[in-house]
Amino acid sequence: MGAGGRYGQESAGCAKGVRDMVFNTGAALLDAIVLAVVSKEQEGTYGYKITQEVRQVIELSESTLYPVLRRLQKDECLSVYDMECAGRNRRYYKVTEKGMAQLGLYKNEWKRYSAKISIMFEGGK
Amino acid sequence: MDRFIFMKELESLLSDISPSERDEALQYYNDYLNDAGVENEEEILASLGTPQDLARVIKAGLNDGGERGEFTENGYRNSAFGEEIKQEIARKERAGKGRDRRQSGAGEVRKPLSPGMIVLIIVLCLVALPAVAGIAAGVIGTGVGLLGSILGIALGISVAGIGLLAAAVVLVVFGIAMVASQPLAAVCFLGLGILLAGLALFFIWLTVWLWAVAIPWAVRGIVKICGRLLRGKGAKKI
Repeated sequence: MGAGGRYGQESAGCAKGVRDMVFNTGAALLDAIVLAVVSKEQEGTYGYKITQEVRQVIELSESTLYPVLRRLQKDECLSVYDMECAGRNRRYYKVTEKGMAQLGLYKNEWKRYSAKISIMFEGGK
Repeated sequence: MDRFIFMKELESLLSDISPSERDEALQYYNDYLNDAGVENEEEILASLGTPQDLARVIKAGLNDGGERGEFTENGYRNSAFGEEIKQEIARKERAGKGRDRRQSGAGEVRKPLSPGMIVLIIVLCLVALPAVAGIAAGVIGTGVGLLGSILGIALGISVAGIGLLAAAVVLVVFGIAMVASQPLAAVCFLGLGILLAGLALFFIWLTVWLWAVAIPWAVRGIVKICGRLLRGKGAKKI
């Protein structure tokens, strides 16, 4: 994954099985994906794992997620706690109640939006 | 770059943000490298870019607040260089706005002038109206006169043709009537009648040509000339 590459310039090389992105992912969608990934873990999950899982669906550089997680934390959509793991503290993220509500909102909005686009693509009315 | 040098450099680059934010970020990336494992360390450090890049991303995230400017459609994939992209976008936007402002500025310069210009034009029109009207009337009159005279000539030729034809017919009739009593005079009458008939035919042909070809052409020409003169005057006036 070329660090400075722009979209489309490295169409031959797909990073970690993720198809090249034709569509950009906006801030809200990225928030929604992160919340969805974190919400899957009842006990919470950690930065590296979140990044790897988000990367299964969208291309993402290693540094992208920290500001997103930090902002979601400040917005009280995520809570953090430290848990000892293999002799060191690891920071865990968990979706708060507010975060779950936000995620529900995103999911509904996505359903509505993607359905509209699908209908448009498939030529319906 | 060695991981510890990288983190040390990052720490010093983040010295101007609050200690809690700094510790938070440092812990995150330390965790990240620990969780990735030693075998992936090099790759991850490479994809994080330089400590300067990463510090920029972290600081941009802090200033981001609710605005989320960094993760717009243009920014987030290259967010290791997000700040540059953001600046580039901002520059473009500024340039665009500047251009807009300049354009609207030009418009504003033109606008205050135009009411004065309009008043001036109206005054000029009012002053020039009698003269312009006179010229226009003259041009139209000339056109109508020309047309009338051409029509008159054409009409005259037609009448002449008809008259000549009638005279020819009379002469021929007289000639035929006098053949028995006065043969010489009859021949003169007949010859004159045939001559007049020829002339009449010529005039009739001229009439047909005039009505069918010459007058339409003349009308078109005069209308065109009048129009051009009037438009020319009008254009000069405005």
